[in-house]
Amino acid sequence: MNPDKRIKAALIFICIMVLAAVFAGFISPWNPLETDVLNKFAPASLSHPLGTDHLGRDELSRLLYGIRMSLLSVLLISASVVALSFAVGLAAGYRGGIFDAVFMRICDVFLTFPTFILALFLIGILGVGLLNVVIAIVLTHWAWYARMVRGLVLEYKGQGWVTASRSLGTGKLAVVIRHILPSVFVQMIILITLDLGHMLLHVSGLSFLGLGVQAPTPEWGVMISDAAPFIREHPMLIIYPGLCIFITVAVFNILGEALRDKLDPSYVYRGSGCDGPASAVEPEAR
Amino acid sequence: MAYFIIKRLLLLIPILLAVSFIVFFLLRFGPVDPAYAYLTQSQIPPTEEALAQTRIELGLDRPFPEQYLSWLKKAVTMDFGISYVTKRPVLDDVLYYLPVTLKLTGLSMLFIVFFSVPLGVYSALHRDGPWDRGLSLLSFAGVSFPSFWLGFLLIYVLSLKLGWLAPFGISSPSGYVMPVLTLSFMSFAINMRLTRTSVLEHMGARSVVYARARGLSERNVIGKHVLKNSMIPIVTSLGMHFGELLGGAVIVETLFALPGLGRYAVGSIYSHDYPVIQCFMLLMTAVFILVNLAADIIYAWLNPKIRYGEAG
Amino acid sequence: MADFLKAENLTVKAGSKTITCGVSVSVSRGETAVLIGESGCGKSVTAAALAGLLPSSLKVASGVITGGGRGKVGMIMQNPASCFDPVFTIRDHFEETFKSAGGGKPSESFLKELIFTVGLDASGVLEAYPFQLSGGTLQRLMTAIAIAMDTSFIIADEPSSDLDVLGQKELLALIKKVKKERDLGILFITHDLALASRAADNIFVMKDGKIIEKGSPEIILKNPSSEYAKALVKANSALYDTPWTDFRKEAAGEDAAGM
Repeated sequence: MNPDKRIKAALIFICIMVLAAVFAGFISPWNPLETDVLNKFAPASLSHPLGTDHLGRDELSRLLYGIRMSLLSVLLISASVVALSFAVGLAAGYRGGIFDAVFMRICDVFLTFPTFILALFLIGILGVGLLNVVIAIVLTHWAWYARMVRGLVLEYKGQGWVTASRSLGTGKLAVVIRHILPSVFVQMIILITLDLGHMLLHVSGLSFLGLGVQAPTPEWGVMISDAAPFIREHPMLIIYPGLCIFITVAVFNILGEALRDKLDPSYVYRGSGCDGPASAVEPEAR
Repeated sequence: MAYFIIKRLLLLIPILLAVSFIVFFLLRFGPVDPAYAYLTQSQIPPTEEALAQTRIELGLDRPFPEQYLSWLKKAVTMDFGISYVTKRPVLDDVLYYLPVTLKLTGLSMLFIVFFSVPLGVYSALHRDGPWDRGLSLLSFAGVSFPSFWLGFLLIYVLSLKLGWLAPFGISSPSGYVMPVLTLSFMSFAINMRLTRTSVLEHMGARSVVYARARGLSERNVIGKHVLKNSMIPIVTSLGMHFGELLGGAVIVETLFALPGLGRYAVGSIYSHDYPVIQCFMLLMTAVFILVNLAADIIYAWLNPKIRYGEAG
Repeated sequence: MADFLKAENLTVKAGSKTITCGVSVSVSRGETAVLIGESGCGKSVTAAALAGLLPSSLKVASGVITGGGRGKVGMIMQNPASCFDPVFTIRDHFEETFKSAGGGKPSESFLKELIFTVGLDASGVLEAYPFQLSGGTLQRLMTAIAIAMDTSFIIADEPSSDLDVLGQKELLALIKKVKKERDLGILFITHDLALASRAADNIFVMKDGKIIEKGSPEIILKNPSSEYAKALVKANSALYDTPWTDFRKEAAGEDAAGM
């Protein structure tokens, strides 16, 4: 399927999810926090389309409200990462000198740690909760992006049209904003989108471990760990939230890959359809 | 080459120092008071006097550099203090739980290398064939699947429904099967894709054309030239993936109730058991750096440009 | 050991697009032929077809290739640095070429001789990796490998495009020498008319996938019949002003002086 179709499909799906999240209150048949212990583990029915969980809460409602948690956290994380990495990366790349050197060392420090372990550690310092999870994941991811930004800035800085613009007297900041920023931004969008799924997996993973969203707030990772003890008799309670995570991550990945295929064709294997580009034999036909 | 290795090993020391310092600093000055954590874990009411007393006991009243240096001095002798929770020496606990984690991540790494590389090569050589399409789909699933979901799915199918494997624990070696599959799936998928891309890219290289021109058999061309060249970026990638494995081990151990370091660490994070957190961070970082060093060494062995530097 | 390397009526297509159409080119042993044309005219594809190196995206729609095929024609390609495999030594390259040709492991003295023939010192070169050597050295080594393949024909595809003027001259002299010593047939692929005039016994002019003219250098340079060939010659104004016979004499003189 070509990139445009995929992008459209993914965006439509995401829009639906956003709408579901915003209007969760209206479309949910029940209050997700409302327990009804006498009615626990109810099978699917008209009033409870997906049944109830171990505390009698409506599963569908909890899943719908769970969309909020997932989208919100991913949005916060990606926005913060973009902002932070742009600010630091642009400054370091453009100003260079000691500022740049110090910045690189700081990045190196962050990049020494395996990402999930670092996130765990940061939770250890900050304490549990969704906000802390967001902060922790932002802190583990920003360094890699900041480096990317800096690299791209350095690359673009050396290009002809930037120098030409400077020679015409454009101020430093103006050069950055008008010329370098757009190109870097496009690259970043591709990279970040590819990472959205990964971020969601980290968030739900940490929540699964009990370090993120705390009960009784509905979140897909927590719902899986809540349902774990009942896997033998009520496996569906694990299947539903897991499926939600899987589909959401998959959609993000489809979007990210389609964007990359469309906007950065150098990633696409050249000469698709041949086993060896003709250029290997006809080097002058460029 | 030896010089290269020694240089990197020596670099390890300042890196670990920096890491331990940062970790120490953040723990001491983070939002949660270590003394408070200690008392709550020991089930002692954190009254003002108790807190003051504990601070002196734990040496938290001394100036920060002194605290760090005294920790460092002990750490060098492998004394990482006493756990706030278990009251046992941290090192003992860590060494007790470490083997399981090492086995888990080690087996996962082997699984990934053994399966993702050949399958990736096969996909590349039979591009757009049925296997390639199928593996492509599998690959996509791999990067989208939450590992904690996969683990439960495996338990449900292989354990509860088919009864082939025990659901939890490692009372027998087969207890590692599902954890390893769960842990490896994502990295396996990513690496298989990478292998495929790498091989496809190299198949179009001019050196491949020239090899054919010299009369080399197709088997030789692919099996020797394409393969060796395409493995180079994969080695680096695998080194980095090891970090993902270390992180993922935390989830997998929790899920399958394995007595590993990851599960132990999560507990210590929850209870603010600082000496344990400190040791855990240091250890994980050291392991990660060493594995990446091994990857770099293999990379240098494969790629002579690194060994000799770019010459004119 | 064939006496002719030739393509008769060769039509190569990439899908529905025609790259070469009814091309006929031939070289006999002891002869130097030059296939000349501008970039993208299909001359490299013709060379690839002769050497059995067409990528799978290109197919021979019709025509016959005689005396060629994979491993049967020595190749000297342009941009030698990208042709050698960066993770293998020069020695590895030689040894595997020999093995594929059915020989065993070549003896040290044989390798030394071979490398000496192309004007290099074996000890400085055998254990090196391609990125450590210069373009000129690598071109000579390509020539050595072509000799090692023990074929009757060598195709040189724009061999000196990466070299400076001196390097070009040396390489051409080397190829000439090798050809004479072993009675080989050489096919040059080039866009350089000066080279053609110096070296060729026979010139094939190619444009847009077709051979539009062929003949000896005298005819092509003095009396080109096609518009394209005329334009080519005119563009090389030095040639136009200087009778080609003078070039030939010059070249002959160089031969005699052993250059």
